[in-house]
Amino acid sequence: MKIAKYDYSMIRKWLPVLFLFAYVITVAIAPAFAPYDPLEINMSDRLSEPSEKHLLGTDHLGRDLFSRILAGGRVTVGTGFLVLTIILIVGVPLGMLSGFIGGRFDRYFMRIIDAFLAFPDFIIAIVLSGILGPGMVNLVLAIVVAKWGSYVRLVRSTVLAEKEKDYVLMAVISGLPAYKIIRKHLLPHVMGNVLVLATLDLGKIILMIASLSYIGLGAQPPTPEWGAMLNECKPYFYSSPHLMVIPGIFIMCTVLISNLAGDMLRDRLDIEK
Amino acid sequence: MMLDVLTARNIKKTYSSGYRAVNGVSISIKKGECVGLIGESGSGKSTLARCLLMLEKLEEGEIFLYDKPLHLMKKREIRKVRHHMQAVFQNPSAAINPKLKIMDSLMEVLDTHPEITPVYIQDVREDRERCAARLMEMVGLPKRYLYCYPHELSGGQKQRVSIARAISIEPSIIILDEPTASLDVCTQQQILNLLKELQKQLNLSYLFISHDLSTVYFLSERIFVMKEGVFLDSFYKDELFSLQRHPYTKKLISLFES
Repeated sequence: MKIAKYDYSMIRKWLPVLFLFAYVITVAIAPAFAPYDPLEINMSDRLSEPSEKHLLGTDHLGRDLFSRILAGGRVTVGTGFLVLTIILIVGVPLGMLSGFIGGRFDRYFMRIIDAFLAFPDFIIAIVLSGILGPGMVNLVLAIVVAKWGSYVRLVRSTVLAEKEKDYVLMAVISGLPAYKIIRKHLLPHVMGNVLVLATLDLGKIILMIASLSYIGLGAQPPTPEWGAMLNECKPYFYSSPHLMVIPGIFIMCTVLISNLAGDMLRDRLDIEK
Repeated sequence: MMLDVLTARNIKKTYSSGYRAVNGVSISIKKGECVGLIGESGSGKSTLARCLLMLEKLEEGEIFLYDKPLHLMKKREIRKVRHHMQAVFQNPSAAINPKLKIMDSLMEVLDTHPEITPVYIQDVREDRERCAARLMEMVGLPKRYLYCYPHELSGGQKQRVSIARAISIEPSIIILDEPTASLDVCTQQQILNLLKELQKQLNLSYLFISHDLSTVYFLSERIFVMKEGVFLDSFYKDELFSLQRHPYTKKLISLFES
């Protein structure tokens, strides 16, 4: 099948997602440009002010802050992306199945989801990573468990609304097997909603990772991670405030970018309807 | 004796709420025949259509497609013969996926059954685009709409696409569930003419369901009158005004005459 003309409206519509994607890629490759090893300790040059030698100064162990920010971005944003990917891989198929099969399976499954959604996700994440112990793997697991329920819900409700439409009946009459109906007819309706929710959530997830690392449940020193860096530099806040302010600004900007992208995407997809 | 395309005997369907929508209905449709089914809203017409299309689980009754007993078949087997029965529904906007290009909706049945080649697209079956263009031509639509999305088409055009999709596989029978109900009078007449033309041209069988006596009378050779889940009356078109008609049929006629 040939496409007659190139559809630029699609690009315009998905621009926020592309932008976010570009940002994530930038963050991912940034550590390659770090001037120093983010783990290299140099006690003779500790707590120095921003200078030509150290662009953003050094921390209490004499590590270059700029290099640590770049390396930490990969950990923080990368983990956020990983969490989101796992949630989508788990949540979307389960939601589709639950909505499509319906009946008793759907009823019981939704009660389980209700149980997850009954608690605020931050509480679940803190409790779970508290039980599982500190560390990045446990942190990822805890946030996935806290967040997946709302994705299952969203996908299921979209599928429930769409599967009653006549075009699904027509597909059944055409003799399409169930998995093809799901792929061809239901998935496109689900993906738009899910992507909006996912981009809006990315900020929250990054914030969650940073917060949990800040209270000592996520990344452990000496791993450079924005939240953990805030925690490490807390005792020096009065003497060298930039050690906390700079990672804070980076967290804030990342969350802001992801929220703006989510908002823009939601507006653009809504206009199409 | 030639077999009837579709034979249904003693169809019963009760919804889980306990409401019996169809209560013991029998119908048979011959090749090339248009059977009309008329009844008021809630009389069980659409439920019967869904039962005949095997979209609903039957409570009781038998459905034969030629000599194949559909009511005894497993889901997988039904899926294989399902394309013999096509349908056109009332609301063309709901019957076409808004996220797909017209081409992809139109070619859905043919794409699903690559082994079937209807006579009228025999020469272009290999070429998906020309195949779709031929079908569009048959229902009187220009082929430039193939790469449009459904929201760019009018209601009547979308209904033509639905009809094109229904005829695309050369089905044994097409069940038309109020195909003109959501259209304006002018478009209604065009669609009815198109259906009549296609029937003659392709020797199709129709089950035409409507609440509008005049459209049923225009298209059908045989007419069934349905009320509260049962057939009250059945007759050939030219017997419509006969004195033996059921009082309910007479009431319908008087309503449409006034």
